[in-house]
Amino acid sequence: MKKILLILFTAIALFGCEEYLDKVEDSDGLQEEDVFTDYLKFRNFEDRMYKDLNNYLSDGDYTYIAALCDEGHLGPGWETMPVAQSGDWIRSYKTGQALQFYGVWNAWQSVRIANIVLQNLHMLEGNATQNQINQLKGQAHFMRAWYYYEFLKRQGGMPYIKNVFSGSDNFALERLSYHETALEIAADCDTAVMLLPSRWDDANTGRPTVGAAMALKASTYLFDASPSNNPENDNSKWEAAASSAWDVINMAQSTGRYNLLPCNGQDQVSYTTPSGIKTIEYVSGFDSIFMYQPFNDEIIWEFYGASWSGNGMWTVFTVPSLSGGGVIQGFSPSANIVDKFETDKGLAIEDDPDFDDQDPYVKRDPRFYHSILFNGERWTSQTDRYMELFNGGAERKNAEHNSFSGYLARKFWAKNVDQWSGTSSPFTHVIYFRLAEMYLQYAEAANEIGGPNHSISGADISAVEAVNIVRARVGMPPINAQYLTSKEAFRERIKNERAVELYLEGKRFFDLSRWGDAHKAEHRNLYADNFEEDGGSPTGYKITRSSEPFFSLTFAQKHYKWPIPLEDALMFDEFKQNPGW
Amino acid sequence: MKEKYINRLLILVTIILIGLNTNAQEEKVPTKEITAILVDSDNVPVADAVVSSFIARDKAVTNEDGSFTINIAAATQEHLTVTESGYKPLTTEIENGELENSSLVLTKENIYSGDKVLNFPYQDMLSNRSVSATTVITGEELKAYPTANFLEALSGRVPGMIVSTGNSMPGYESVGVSIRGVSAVTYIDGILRDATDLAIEEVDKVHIIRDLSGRAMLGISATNPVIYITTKTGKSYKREINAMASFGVSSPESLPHYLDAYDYATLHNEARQNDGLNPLYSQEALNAYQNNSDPVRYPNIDYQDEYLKKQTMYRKANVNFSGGDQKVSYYSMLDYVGTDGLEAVGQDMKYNRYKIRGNVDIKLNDWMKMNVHLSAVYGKNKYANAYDGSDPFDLIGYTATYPSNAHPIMYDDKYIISDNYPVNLTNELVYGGYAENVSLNTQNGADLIIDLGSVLEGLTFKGSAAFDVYNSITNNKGGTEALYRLNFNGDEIATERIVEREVVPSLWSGDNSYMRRTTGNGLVTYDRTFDKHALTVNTSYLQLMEEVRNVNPNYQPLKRQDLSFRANYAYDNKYVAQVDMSYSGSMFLQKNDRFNLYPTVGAGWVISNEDFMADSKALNYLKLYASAGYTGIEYVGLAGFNSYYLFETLWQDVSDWQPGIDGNKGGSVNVYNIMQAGSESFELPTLRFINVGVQSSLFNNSLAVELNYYNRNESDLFSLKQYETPSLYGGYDFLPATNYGENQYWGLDGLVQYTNKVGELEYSIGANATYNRGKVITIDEPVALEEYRKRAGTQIDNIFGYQADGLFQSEAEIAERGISQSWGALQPGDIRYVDYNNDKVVDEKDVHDLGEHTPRIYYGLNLNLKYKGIGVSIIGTGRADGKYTVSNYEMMLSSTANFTEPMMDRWPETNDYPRLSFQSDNSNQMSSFWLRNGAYFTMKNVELSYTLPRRISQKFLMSNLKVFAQGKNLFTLSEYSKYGINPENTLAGSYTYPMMRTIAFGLACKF
Repeated sequence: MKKILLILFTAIALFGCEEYLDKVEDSDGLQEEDVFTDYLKFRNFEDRMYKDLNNYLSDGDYTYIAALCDEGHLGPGWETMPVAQSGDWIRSYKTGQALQFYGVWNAWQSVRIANIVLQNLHMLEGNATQNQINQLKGQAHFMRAWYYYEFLKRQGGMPYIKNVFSGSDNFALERLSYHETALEIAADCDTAVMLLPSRWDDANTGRPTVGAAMALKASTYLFDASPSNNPENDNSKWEAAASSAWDVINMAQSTGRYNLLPCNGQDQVSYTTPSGIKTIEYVSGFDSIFMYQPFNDEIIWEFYGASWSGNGMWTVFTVPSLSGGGVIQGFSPSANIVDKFETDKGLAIEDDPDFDDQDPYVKRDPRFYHSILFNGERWTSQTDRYMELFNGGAERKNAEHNSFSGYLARKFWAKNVDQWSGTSSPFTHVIYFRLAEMYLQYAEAANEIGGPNHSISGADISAVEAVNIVRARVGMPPINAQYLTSKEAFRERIKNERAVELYLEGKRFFDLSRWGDAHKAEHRNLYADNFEEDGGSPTGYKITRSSEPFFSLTFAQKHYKWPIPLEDALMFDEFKQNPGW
Repeated sequence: MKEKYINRLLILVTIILIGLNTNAQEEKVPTKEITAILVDSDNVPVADAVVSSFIARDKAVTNEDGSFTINIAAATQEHLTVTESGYKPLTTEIENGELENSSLVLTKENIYSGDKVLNFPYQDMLSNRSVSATTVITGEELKAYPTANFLEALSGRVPGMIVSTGNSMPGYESVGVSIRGVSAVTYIDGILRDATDLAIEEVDKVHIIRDLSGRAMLGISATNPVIYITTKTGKSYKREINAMASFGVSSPESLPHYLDAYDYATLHNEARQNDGLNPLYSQEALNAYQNNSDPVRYPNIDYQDEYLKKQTMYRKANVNFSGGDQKVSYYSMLDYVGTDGLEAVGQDMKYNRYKIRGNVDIKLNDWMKMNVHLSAVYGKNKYANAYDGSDPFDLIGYTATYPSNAHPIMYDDKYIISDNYPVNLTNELVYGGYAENVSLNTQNGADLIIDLGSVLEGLTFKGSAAFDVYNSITNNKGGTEALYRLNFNGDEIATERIVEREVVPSLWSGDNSYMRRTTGNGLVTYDRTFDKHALTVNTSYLQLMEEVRNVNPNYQPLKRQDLSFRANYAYDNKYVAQVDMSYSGSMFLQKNDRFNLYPTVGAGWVISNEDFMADSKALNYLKLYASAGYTGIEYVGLAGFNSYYLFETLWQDVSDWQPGIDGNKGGSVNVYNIMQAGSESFELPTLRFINVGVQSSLFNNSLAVELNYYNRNESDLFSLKQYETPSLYGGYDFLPATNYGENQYWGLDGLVQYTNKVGELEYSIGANATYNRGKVITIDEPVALEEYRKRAGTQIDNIFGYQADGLFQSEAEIAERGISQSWGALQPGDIRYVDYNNDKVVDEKDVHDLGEHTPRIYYGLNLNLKYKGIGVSIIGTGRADGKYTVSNYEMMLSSTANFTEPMMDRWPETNDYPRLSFQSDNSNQMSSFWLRNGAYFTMKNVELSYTLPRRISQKFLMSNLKVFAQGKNLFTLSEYSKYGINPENTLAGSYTYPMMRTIAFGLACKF
């Protein structure tokens, strides 16, 4: 009996060993070492930091940024849009799929990934070539800078995180000033310039290049120098903006890496008039920067992943009568923006005595035809179908997805893409920086330093020459002398040039904001043109500007700096909310 | 169909008869006749009771004066047994044919008495020595409940226990049992096991262990309250055959009320108009809906009426055999239960379940015993499947989402669908194929009990092993009839084929799943009584492993290991002290640091055994008891985490991203991503439990009273601390698990039961109730949150939301108020919310503690009457206070959901429901507007029965014959019942199967 007892207790002791609770091996997935000592796995980890790139053209981004400024309007097709338009940006973070809001704020994840990459790159040594390691490092620096630039444009200065936080670190960090943050971004760009290639092979197209890093630095400095962020008008900031923009132009010119895409063809639009179908000839090629082909050397940095898969983008710009079905459709360019397209003499429409507001489609800047669809224009694969943008027309029925303004946007709506042709949309670039903008940045900064004819030391073009290069490409005459009488007069033309050249490219909202113009009534109140049938008019319609705006955006002083999402604003007293929120 | 069930019943009856015959054919022994009387402990004769002799195989029914005459074995040891409800089972030994005393004395079974044996994990204990808040119910009591799910039968019977019915879909019934606010786990015959397909007939006793001390030996398995179930074993010197069959109907207890086509269209138009849109339905359409004048263009279909049966079948049959002699005792059972679904068209759901059990206790020799428990369940469920898959077709869900005017079902002999409503219900049920789920579950265990008295007096060893397997396979077959869309062109109606006919020739072998559980346990018990000192010491060692197919993301069986110790000491049956220690290991902790020691202590004082109470006439039993202790919480509910590797940073290969680079421009690319961040350190959260209680039996044991106070604290809970970690950190994905969070709960539970007899009427009436509440001590929330928005420090069940202040009645009122609300422009009829923080805007900063809470008081009422053979037993359950929130589908008007009756009360008709809108979210916020009275009462269970006098049933060889009618969920009283909503499960009938009312008739007999 005692033996039995002994056996039993021995058995318990044997079973009782801790090994019983050991886990099944090989069930714990990949370990850090597996990922960080293998070049491809490492790179595939790092690539996740591209995830938070923002597609400002996407119909999935229900706070389509162009509809938050005077570029135009989108109706309340989704809850997010009206909330953002009403200025309730705190709530916009919480609403639907507000990528422009929460999506961008989520990029802190990608910043962390960049920091993890930089912290662990040493593990790759011996397992990858120095060149491969440099490329990974350069991309991490660039993308960290890029996301901080996205924060900077919206919320302003942020603590610049360069380490990988652990759960027990102190998170109560104070925000850096706007300028301090800009300097950190520039420093990351400088590092990236040393490490990134100037061009990637085909398989890696879309990764950032030397040019992208230089352009990012230039754009950051321009924001830093702009009135909203430089109230004391510190000239050294304009100097930095001008020289960094010139660096990009100079690199493009000296290496030939980037060129303005030439516009040397002829195209035409036809539209209805009482005397029959009328045709206008204009310089073609401008649209090739944005569509139709996967590569062009004007683009410096774009969201290539979105560009490649951007089949849905055109639905933003169509209307139900022409396509049937997107969630957000019918982007309506405001009459405010339509007026900014000059006449072909290079004059603002109000300055051109030959301009007839009852025959407004003729003799305009070619970019007008590339960007705007107007009443009576033929723009479908069907030869007999003309835009009914007159009051009560098929495209303007005062319904949610139809035109509110009497215009539609064409810039990202390719030819013959509609429900009849069956053609899906072509390659559509989501461009962040292109060379033309660098010229305009240089011009803006140089003008602020020394006026229209100023050129910074080392540069071989003046502010006005830089603008003229951009204009010449589309066949527009140089800036008329009447606009070059002062820094202030030319500043207005530069602003106009940016509105026209960069229309719908995700720039104007931030431009108006950095210029301190966004709260002004002329940019908040969106006007429509009314078209009433009138056989005596050149277009067959009597055109009148609406007396009341068809939509008014809310933009108060507090909107110059986006709010910090409440969760973060409430977390630590050190991390301050922007004023007014 | 019905013939099939009748056949099954016939088979059962045959089995019974065979059993009877075998009994009868055994050889005869010399017998003699004796006469005696049967009395109760007060010396009152017990009439109409059955006395059986074991060897002579005779039965006698007592007369009015308790006397009986029975044959017993003349020469050998003989036993007489009496089993009467309300009394303890009696077995009297007779040597050489001489009854020592001419009267047999039955002892009453009281709710509380010191000598009642309670079953706890690893230990049976006299209730005198227990310091735990544990309630016992017998399987016998539960038989009144007609159900296929055992747990449901526990409703309303135990203080502190809440049984709630989730889905009532046949074969997929989900019943949740929570005890003092925590979901309970079930143990069957000492092993952690699923109890849903337990047959009530096989249940001997159910112990509901509500405090920690009663289950402390389970270590970290004791985190949750335990429902400790023992199955029946044979009784020595006794044979018994029980058979029952019942047959009944089930129908929905309630169904949400949806609108007919006219009302739907009217409200739809109104909502669109409120949104500034043109109405969708013309006056012509509305007229047609109202007159049913054009059912093709303007259909008006009541889906509940067309597709749901008014009632379905409930079937049950059970036969069991038990008995034993001095060496072997046995209990075996066959059980059948069948329920049908509500589908009135095509393939209706058919669930049939068969269960067998065999429990055998064998005395191997003087010092060794073996108990074997085997059971197996075969279940088969056949149903219409959803879209060629294996899930059941969600017919109920379609009644909640398809409006009455969606489209006609048929036109021109073609099945119709429409763009917005792409499913044709008849097609899915008739031509959509079916699936069948077959499950086979077995629970097998054996105990070896060795009396080690020769080593040390009072020493016993018990070794147990159990192997349980749960298996299921779901096969399915798809298909569809051709489906058409109607195109209207003036008076012309054209059909356009949208979906081609598809015939699937064979049944696909589909999903299968399994779970296996192996348990091993060794237990050494030392149990001695020296004079007035009684000492019981238990040491237990447990290993447990669960293997589940498809453990995400990787294969990893769950294992547990516990070494536990208990010492229970009692002095003079008055004072009790108990210490439990558990040394528990958790796989989720780091190796070398897996084990924690958890102590529990308790004490009891049986006041009624004190000398100074000996004279008390009124007080029959009184015990005070208290216990306190700790255990760990092995709760791992962190979404996305592999809890087995909380300390390691794990990586995964995901392919969800389209970078547009790396040569793979259009497609998605594998990206390595951190799956979970490793924790630097954490411990298992801690559970602290205190229980203080009193149990008493008064006035000649007619009144039983129990009251408990409990206090439970959960600290160091798992958290990611995401709200206290800023975005700068780099996002939720990278947060490790940490210990953060503390909740404190307390409450009362108790019961009162009064049992008495007036003449021949025996009655018992009682109530039990729970009051449960708690407080958030620490929770992950932003530090700088305004005080009134913080959860920490508030009652855990308090409801946060906007305070509604009626509806806006006019534009003028909106303008005059001048306070914007965050969901767009306001219109009259929108809910007006209180600007709680006075900042002139209603936004999430105005969400605050509304001062309302979810229900805290739950109760159960019971009434039992017995008059001659007639019995009535009633159980009611309910809630007495608190609020609940109406479900989303009821609250939110949605163009993709059906409309419900409460929406008819929309503003401006009444102020009970806001203006209708598809676009405005103003009224869809969590606010006091949507709180409803949480109180309700449900007539949960009623049984009416008649038991034939034993004298008569004995003529048919039956010692008992009872006919009965049983019902469950007979009716519910609540403020919202008028809309067909059941407050116990507000989603029943819309998101899940409705709660079912079952009424069954049957008979039960004992041989």
